[in-house]
Amino acid sequence: MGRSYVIGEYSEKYLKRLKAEERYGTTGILLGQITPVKTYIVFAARTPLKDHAELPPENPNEMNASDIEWVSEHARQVSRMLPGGILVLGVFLIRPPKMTKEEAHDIFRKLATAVEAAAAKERLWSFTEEEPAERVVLQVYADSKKMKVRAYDLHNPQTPIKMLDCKSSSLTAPWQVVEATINVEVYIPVPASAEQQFDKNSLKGLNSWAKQIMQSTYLINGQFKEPDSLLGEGSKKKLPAEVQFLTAPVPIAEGEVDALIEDCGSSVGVKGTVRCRAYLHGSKSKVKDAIQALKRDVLNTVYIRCEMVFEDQILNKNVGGDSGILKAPHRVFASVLPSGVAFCDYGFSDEGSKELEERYKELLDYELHPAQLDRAEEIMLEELGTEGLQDKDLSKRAGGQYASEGFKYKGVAAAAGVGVIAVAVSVIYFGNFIGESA
Amino acid sequence: MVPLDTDDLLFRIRGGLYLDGILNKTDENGIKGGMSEAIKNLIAKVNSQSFVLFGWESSLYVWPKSHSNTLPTELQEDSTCKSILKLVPIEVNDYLKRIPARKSVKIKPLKVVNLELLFELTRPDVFEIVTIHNDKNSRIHFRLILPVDVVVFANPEDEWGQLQEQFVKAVSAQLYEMDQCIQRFTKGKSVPIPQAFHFELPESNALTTVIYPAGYTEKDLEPLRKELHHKFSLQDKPYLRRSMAYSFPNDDLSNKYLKTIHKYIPSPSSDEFQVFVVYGSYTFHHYLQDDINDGGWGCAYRTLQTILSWYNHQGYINVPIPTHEKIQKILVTAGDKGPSIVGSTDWIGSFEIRSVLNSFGITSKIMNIRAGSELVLAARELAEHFEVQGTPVMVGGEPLAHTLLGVAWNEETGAVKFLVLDAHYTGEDDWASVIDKAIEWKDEDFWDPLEPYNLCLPQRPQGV
Repeated sequence: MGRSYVIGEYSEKYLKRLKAEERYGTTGILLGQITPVKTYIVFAARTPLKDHAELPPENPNEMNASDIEWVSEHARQVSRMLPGGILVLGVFLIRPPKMTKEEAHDIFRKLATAVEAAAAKERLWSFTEEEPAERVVLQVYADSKKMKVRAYDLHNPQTPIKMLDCKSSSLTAPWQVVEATINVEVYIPVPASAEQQFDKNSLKGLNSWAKQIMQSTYLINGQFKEPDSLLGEGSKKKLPAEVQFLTAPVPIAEGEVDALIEDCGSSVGVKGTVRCRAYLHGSKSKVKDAIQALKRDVLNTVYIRCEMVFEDQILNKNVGGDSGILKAPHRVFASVLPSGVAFCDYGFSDEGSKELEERYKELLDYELHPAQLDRAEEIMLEELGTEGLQDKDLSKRAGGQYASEGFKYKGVAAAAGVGVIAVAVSVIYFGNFIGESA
Repeated sequence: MVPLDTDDLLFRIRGGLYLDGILNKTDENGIKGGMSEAIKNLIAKVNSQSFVLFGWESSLYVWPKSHSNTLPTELQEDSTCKSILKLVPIEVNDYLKRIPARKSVKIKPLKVVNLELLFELTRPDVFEIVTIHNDKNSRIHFRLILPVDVVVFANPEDEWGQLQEQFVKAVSAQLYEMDQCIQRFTKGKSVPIPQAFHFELPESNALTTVIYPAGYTEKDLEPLRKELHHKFSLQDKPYLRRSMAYSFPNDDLSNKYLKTIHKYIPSPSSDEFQVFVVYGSYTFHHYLQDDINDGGWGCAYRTLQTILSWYNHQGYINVPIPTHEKIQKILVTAGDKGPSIVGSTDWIGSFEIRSVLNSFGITSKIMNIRAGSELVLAARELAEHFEVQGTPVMVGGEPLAHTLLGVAWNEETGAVKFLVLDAHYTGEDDWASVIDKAIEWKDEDFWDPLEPYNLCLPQRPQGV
């Protein structure tokens, strides 16, 4: 196979440090980009320790199902922090000195596929057939300078793939950025038979909206560009490209006579503006790849915000009753790598940067400096948006906190303070609730 | 009627607009109200900066409300409309220009510019919070795609800046009319999709667009048509039946049969003649068409096909044009012919034509002419036929049958001319050849003076 693997400076240094600290058995995830020919690893982050600060087993063979689940959950949380074009590529392992070659094949395969399955849960889109469907396990050898990659084919995890070398490259040259601002307005009907309110299944109703986004047409910097043309037009200078999306031409259905009218028990309305971003490596990226990465980012960011609001509601047991308009958090980018590739997280405008810093430390093992934060959305919305909180029923929420099961990071405070709305999620119920008192 | 000789540009704006939302009320009025609200929002969007028009197969995107586009060096506010012809491929029937000039009226085919209607997802407007419906009644989710199809005529010298305003107005107006259609025709939970049809009307050079609800028969819509006839001061002849909708250039180009070809040749001068021709549209059927080798025997069958096409086009029937064999089988079923006719090359005459038309629910009159020389005496009656019924006539003689599409009559001299469509034409179905060879105003001597003729005059059903 012609595929080669490139590891960037940051990741290489990080892994070498872990090795030097003799943290054998440490696992973690790898982040980067898969292009048709190469896989670029731009970032690595160790799996956070479990609650009781238990060290991972030195020999990966001793990893059990709950360990694998832990690693996967980490991957899922991190996948929420990724901009377009960047994926969870797989896992790494700091190999203990005495480990033999044949060991832990099974575990590696499970790790690679489990991590992908976890990341896939956050997606409203799937990979196309042309895209290489592989994930990797990178092994850092204790007793040598080698780093080897074993790649697993997601469609056929059992097929043996040979071990490959990882090439080093600084990967500090700037990556191409494409950005867009999208207005979202979707109404999802929830059937009267839906058992649990705030059921994540309701979010499946976003699928038809997701399809429309993926099919939409685009303009780059105000101009039409052929999908197969080069994004940067071959020039070395990589200026951020601003993309506009337009609704896809809808074919008029022949033979359709009546409107669709169906009953529902409640509905979920998602409305607001989101800022999206995707990164592309090199100067040879095609317009169609950039657009695809950006569109996927649109879907990711909307889905994640809705999910976070839902999770919070479930956690705070607001599952019956009318919850009024719920605000979803803004997206905050943080430029972490010299190449400009930024990760993101979600928070509210009145939140300080402390919580974000804690999260970056826990999930990405990275010391974030407040100056690195790019509150693009909030700034834009302050300039262009209005507050327009007309509804008198807006309930003030008593500062619930988002928390997740695996990682106890201090979540986003869902304060009903005055702020500009990024995404408002309104959920209306019917059913057999008897008032709001729980 | 849209003139055949025109410099005008026709901008055709099409797009499927999603109407997708949630309603509080489930009764008919609630649904109607909800639809109205949704369409109002759509009209607001059309009048906003997120309304975009895209030239088919071009790189031109236009924002009519902000008067900007993706090719600003080529298309500015004060550019004339015709500048757009260099930027967007035109839909036009160039084959019409090949019709020999000596035979045809002056033809400058209509140029159509196709635009797609899109909305920009990426332009942040003022945000408004979703309002909450604290309504405990069960709710409804609705979704439909409005098939917007708007035509705007423009002179090539018109200013582009002005035209953009017209686009917005025209699309808004159609959406409003679509709402009217939904209000009128929604019953219970059944909301018909409004569809746009463009028609040629006698007193207008442009097209008139009517919105009809999908799923209704022509019969059901007759009351609406009667109202429209009154509104547009139309005669008691069909103009607005949906199958009579205007054929755009690509419709003509993709049709394997040629439509209403007599309009391309000049009529006898109105200074001398009173002219009465077939009404509406038909397609031309003739020898050897559809790979059927009926040279020498099939002319009456072909005339019958042309007559049936007339009823299809005016929306009285909706059937595939029957083959010779199908026609023969109908005659057997009707008891007019024995089974041996099926698959044979037997001729049929006006009585058989009447019988087959009968099987489709169409009545006809038979007119006997003892000798061809007397056909002129029937001119008055034929004139009345074209005036009132407007259908093509089959003239059956031994051995040939012809399709008669009109008569012209000189009151002073008594001379009569006959518009004959030649079912014996064996050439290709292209405008130049057909008009050159298959349609002509013939003099009285065209008919064999000694032979008898039987004419079949199909009748048009009552109503519009």
